[in-house]
Amino acid sequence: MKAAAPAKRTETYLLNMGPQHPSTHGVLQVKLTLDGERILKAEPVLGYLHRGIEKLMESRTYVQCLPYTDRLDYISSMNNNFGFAMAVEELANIEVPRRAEFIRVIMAELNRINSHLIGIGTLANDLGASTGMLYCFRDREYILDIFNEVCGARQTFHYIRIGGVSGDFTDKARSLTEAFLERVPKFLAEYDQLLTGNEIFTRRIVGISPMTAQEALDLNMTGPNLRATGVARDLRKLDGYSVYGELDFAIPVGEHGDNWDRYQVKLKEIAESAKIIRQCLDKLPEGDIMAKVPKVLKPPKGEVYSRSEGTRGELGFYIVSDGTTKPYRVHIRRPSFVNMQGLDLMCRGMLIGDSVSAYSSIDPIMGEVDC
Amino acid sequence: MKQRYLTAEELARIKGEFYTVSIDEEERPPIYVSPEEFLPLMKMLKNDHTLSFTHLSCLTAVDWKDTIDVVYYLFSELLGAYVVVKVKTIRNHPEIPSVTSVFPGAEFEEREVYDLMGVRFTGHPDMRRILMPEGFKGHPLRKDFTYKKPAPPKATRVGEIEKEADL
Repeated sequence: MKAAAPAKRTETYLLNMGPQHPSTHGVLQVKLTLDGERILKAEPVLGYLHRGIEKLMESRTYVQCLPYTDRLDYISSMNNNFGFAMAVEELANIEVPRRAEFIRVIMAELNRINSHLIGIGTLANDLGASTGMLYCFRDREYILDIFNEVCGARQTFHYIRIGGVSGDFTDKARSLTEAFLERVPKFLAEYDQLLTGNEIFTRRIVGISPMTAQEALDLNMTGPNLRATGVARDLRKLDGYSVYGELDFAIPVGEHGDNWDRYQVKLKEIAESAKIIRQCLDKLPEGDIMAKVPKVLKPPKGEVYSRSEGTRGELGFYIVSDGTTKPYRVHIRRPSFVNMQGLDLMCRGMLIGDSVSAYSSIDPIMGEVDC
Repeated sequence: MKQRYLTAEELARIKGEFYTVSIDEEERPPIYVSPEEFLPLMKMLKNDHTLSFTHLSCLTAVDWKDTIDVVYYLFSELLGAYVVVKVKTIRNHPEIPSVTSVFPGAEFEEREVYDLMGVRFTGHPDMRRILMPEGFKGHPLRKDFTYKKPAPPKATRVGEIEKEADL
């Protein structure tokens, strides 16, 4: 009689993606538990870029804190400056001149386009379409030229200050912005040709990593990741902070919350942002660009939580003041950090290769995740 | 921009239902609640149809040297208003119930508070450090935290010999 063959046995396998992996957008490490090619669990390991910005801010004055916000989410520095400046202004009761508010919104929206371009470009690059990335980076240059004109920097701008902005929106900046706005529909059409209609590209993202609206809300996700699931929540509309309440724009939403929807939401948001900038240019009033801010800024005792729609979701600054020149405690609610909780759900049941598109479409910036 | 916070009357209604809750009358009135009453209060704030504070906007902690306050900012789209919930903890042994059973999305933020401030959340699915490396001693965001630089490595025998050779 033949001996019984040993029973077949399978084992799960642990694979480390990153922290040194080109598709993890910085130093993100993800521990993948695999069953063959399928992902059972994805556990992000964070902290490789932790610099202790919250602690550093406790020993700096409010004005000195501002440059640190540039280094949080370093590709949407304007939005971070904006958020922090708004929080301090609310705490210290500073009224911002109207012209400065409009300039801020223009800069925040330009930066949103910039950030979404990088998001789309890197998604294309990670899926093997390097041309897509080059196109996006080409168009991003035009935005950086505008930033360079108003503040002299292409990264870490430190342009939006407490009480206003550091330099005026010059005529040259205006003409550069108008030229860029004319380009927007053209390059969007180009991306549609190159990526949206590309069979290889669409097959890698349609129906991959889906997420329902309830799951996204439970995981506290915000920004394009939430809107892709069909929830039309945008703080620019909901809170109407700064001058957003006077502007007319739509909130693009997705349907299935898959990578395709996240990509589409970003594309549509670029068009909406261009619409906002156009209205701001038309409405831009004359006047001061800086409020009278005391040289030694001492906000009264108290605390404030101020949030704004960052490029990746709800960006909140919680500041506790003890009446001195330095904040007693600063906490930053970073959208990328909170959104990272969705990674496990997005990767579950997908193939290893699809985890790469999940990282790209969730669009984390490690400087912000690790703070 | 000025945000709307829950008014004192609305807060008083909550206060009536939970006897240990105390309210600070300020511009942004926070609800102080004991750790025992904390979870039922959060459940009520989220599930009550007239309140529906379904969005946990901010979760953090502040070290006040004698106590550590854990701070929650909840937002209700229905009311268009915030409510601030604070829990005081004992500094030597800070421990409060985890809110992850009500708001599952608080998992990472609670881990962050544990890592940097040392507040333990009971009932949390995965209470580990998240930003600092494993085996790190202390909680950096506490006010009395001082970083001790590791001592420079001792000169090896080879190094000593090289030093002598230099002289």
